[in-house]
Order: sequence, then structure tokens, then C-alpha cells
Amino acid sequence: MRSEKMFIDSHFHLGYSKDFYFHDITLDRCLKTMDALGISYCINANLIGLTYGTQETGIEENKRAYELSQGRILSYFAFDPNQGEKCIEAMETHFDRNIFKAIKIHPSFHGFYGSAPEYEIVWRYAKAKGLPIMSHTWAVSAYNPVQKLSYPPVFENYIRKYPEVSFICGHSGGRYDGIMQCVKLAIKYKNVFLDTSGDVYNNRFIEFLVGKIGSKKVLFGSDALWMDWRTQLGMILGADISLQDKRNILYENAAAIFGVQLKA
Amino acid sequence: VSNLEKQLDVIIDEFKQSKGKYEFFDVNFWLTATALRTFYPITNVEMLVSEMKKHAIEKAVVTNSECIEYDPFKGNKDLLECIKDYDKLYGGIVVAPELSFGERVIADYMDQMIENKVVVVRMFPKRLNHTMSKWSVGEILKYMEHRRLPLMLWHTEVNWDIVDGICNEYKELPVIIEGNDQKLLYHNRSFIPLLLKHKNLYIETHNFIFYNGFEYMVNDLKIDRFIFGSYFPFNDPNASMMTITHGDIDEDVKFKIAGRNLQTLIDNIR
Repeated sequence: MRSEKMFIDSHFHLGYSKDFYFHDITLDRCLKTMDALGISYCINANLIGLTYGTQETGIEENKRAYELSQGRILSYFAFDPNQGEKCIEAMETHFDRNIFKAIKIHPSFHGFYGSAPEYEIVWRYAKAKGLPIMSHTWAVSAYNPVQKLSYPPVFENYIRKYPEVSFICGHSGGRYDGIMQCVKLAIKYKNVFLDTSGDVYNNRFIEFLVGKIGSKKVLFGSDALWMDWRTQLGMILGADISLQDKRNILYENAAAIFGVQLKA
Repeated sequence: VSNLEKQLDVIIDEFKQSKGKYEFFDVNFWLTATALRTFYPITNVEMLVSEMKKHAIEKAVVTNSECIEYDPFKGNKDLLECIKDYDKLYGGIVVAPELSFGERVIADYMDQMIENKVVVVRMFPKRLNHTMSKWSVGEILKYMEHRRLPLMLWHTEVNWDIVDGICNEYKELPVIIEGNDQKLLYHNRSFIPLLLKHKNLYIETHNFIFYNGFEYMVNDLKIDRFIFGSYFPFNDPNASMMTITHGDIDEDVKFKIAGRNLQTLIDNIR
């Protein structure tokens, strides 16, 4: 596309999933694609830390990605309520605001409702450290029953209890009903934001979000390196919204929330 | 930051221009009467055509939702009536095994459909409660193969063994797999070997979303049998379009995926 790099991807994964074949997810190839598409930074939730229960390994991988990318691959800490105390200790040990910009939770992977008391500790930690929390959110699914654990309303008590913590609904709730629930939360609570990641390609999705909650509450997210960046970028670049709305979604909101310096 | 704004403006304009450049021919448009669970209802053919122009899609194959929600053959009939006055719209009909029952004659029906701009036939064995076995739909597929009339299937409506079997049994029948409503990504361990095995197998693009997917398939595996589709008006065409316009693949292949592969299949209908 262009050599200039400006976009910030709020929802990005390095690492593997057992569920399908990954061809080439080397960092070198990833950075070349980012360059070609004008992506300056990605906020990475490394899959080995998020889904495989090896948070320390994930953190080390995140640090390595930060170094090798010369600071362009930033990261989430992964929090797994199955080993809550251990996760918080690891965050504390490796706390570096230059690298780790937020915390990722994934109730559907980890087998707890987003409302579960096991998550209290991470909300408390996020508040103390000024870190945003991003969670996988999705609609209730007939073929994937664990998605109910991440149904947006289950997060509401924590969102209300911790207004200082910015909460990002990953995938904006995923499917129609989940999206409508996320929009309700974003209207009701100042600290709720929605990201565009995943196979969420509803016609006029971006226009709908901007119309309902305003572009200041929407973040560009891709779900790369599972999915291709171009799908979500295409939707945002081609959306029938203002240039300022696109700036907000593609980089300004993320720069503010994650504390990233934009380079002109 | 003002510099970034100017750059963004240029990037947006480049994307818009590139959409016009590749002459997109969409195999996956739907005519639907429902406004439910959608952010922007498009419920008639006039709106569909208007939106098509806005997205710089030059031509489209349309299927009627009525076919899978009410009755396939009534839906087909209504579809032909809707598209007959639009020279940029083609028909994607839905058929079911009853086409081979009793007095119905497969050849007569298919010939009449082809005369009325039908270029693709879909089957929905789960939704319409039938099997894809030879004893059920074999005669239909055999005639489609004879006419080189492409078959389009959702991967969630069949399984990959069925796809393999059809491609094997009807080698001159183009088979297009569409990734609705679960990411094709989750099936790449199945569809990649099948693409390598069967020259008559194609993938529709709206859910072909895996990271650098076209770059891998086209540049490394030398497979370019992809057909652009958007699943409009349910999905946003921009998502599928940009993977093609901004893919790191040969220009010629971009044109093929955007529309020429589909046009070739249509030209080959006998």
C-alpha cells in the first residue's frame, strides 16, 4: 500500500493454534506485511501464553518480539484465572510499560464466566497499574457453547465496579446479538471500547458502531496472524464515515488507550 | 499528526481506485426480504444494484434467500423475474432432489435456467434435508457436468469427503466452495490438499481470510482457483476486496480472482 506506517492493531496474535495450519508466521514476514499495509504497531496476545497455559513462556516471547521488531510488537499480559495468583506475580516480575500495554483475558478459553470471582484479582491489578483490559467477547453460539462465557453482559459488574479500567470488547461481541450487547455496554459506560477484530464482516458494521457509540470508542483490531489484516482494514478504509472517524479508529484511540507515541 | 491525516487520505483514495481497477465480478450476492439482524437492510433488487455500483462491483451473481427459507423452485422463479432487466446481474439458483422426481425433467429445467442468465447452481443438503449421494442428486450433477454449469456449496452444508467425492466423480463439473458461516481458516488442512488434488475445485473468497492466504496459495502452491465473492448484503464487500486489491500476488492473478476466473467458468457453460 504505502511505506508510511500509522495504523495500530489492537488485537493481534503471535504463536500457533492447534486448530489449523499456519504457513509462515515468522516475525520477519509479519513485519514486512505490516510495512506494506502501513501498520506501525500491533498489540500482541501471544497464543502460547494465552491458550497453552504457559504464561512465562508467553512473556518471554513477547519480550523477544518487542526486541526483534524494534519496539513495534507491543503486548498484552495474558491472565488465566486457573492460575490467577501466578499470573499476577508474573506480571509484577516482568512489568515494563514500554512492552506491556494491557491485559488480555479470554473466558471462553479458560473456562470461567467473565463475571466469575476469579477475575476480581486482575481487575484490581489493572486498576492499580493503570492497565486496560481486553477480553474476547462473543454471542452465544449453537456450535461453540463456550462462547456463552464471554457473552458481553457477563462483564458488566466488573465494568461498573472499576470505572478507571478501560475495557475493550474484543471482536465487538462477534455476531449480531453480541454486537448489540457490546454497543449497550459502550453507551452505558465510559470505560467500554469495542475492537473490530475477527471474522466480523457484517455489512455497515463500522458505520453502525460509529453511529451508535461514536468513533472514539472503536479500535482497529484484526486477529492477525490468524486472519488477514486486509479484511478489517478494507472495511474501515472503505466505510462511509468521516476521515476523522477513520483516524480515530485506525490509530488515535489506540495511541491514547495504550500510551503509544504516533510518528508522523 | 496532520501529516498522518494526509497520508490516510491518500491510502483511502488508493483503495477506492483499486476497487475500480480490477473489474470485480461477485459470485455471492443475495436477494433478501428480511431486515432482521442486519445493520442496513437491503431488501430489493434496486437497492442491491445501487449498492453494487457504490462498491465498484461491476457484475454479480444473485441468489434468492427465499430458496433456502421457503421453497427453492419458487425462489428461483422469483429471482429470474427480479434480475431479468439488469444486464449486470446473473442468477445463482438453488436446486434439490425433487428436480429428478416424476414428471420434472432435469435437462428442460436447467436449459431454461441457463437461457435466463443462470450461471451457478447451489445445493443446501442440510437446510433442505437431503443427501448429496449419487442416488439422490447424481442425475442432476451429471447434467450440470454435461453443461459445465458450476456447483456452489457451503462447506458447512457438506463435509470435505463429500467435496472430494463430487470432484472425483464429476471431473468436468466446476465445484465452488463457499466458507459460510464458519471461517474457512479452520478447514485449511482439508481444502488445501483438495485444491492440490482437483483441478475442478474453486474457493469463493468472502471467508477465505487466513493471514497471507492468497500469497501462500498463489505464490507458493501455484493455485489461483479463487472466485471473488462478498456474501453481500449480509457482509461488507470491502473485507474480501482488499485481500485481492492489496495482495502481494501478480497483477494478472488479481484480475483472475476478482472476476476473470468466474467469467471463464461462465464462458465455458455449454
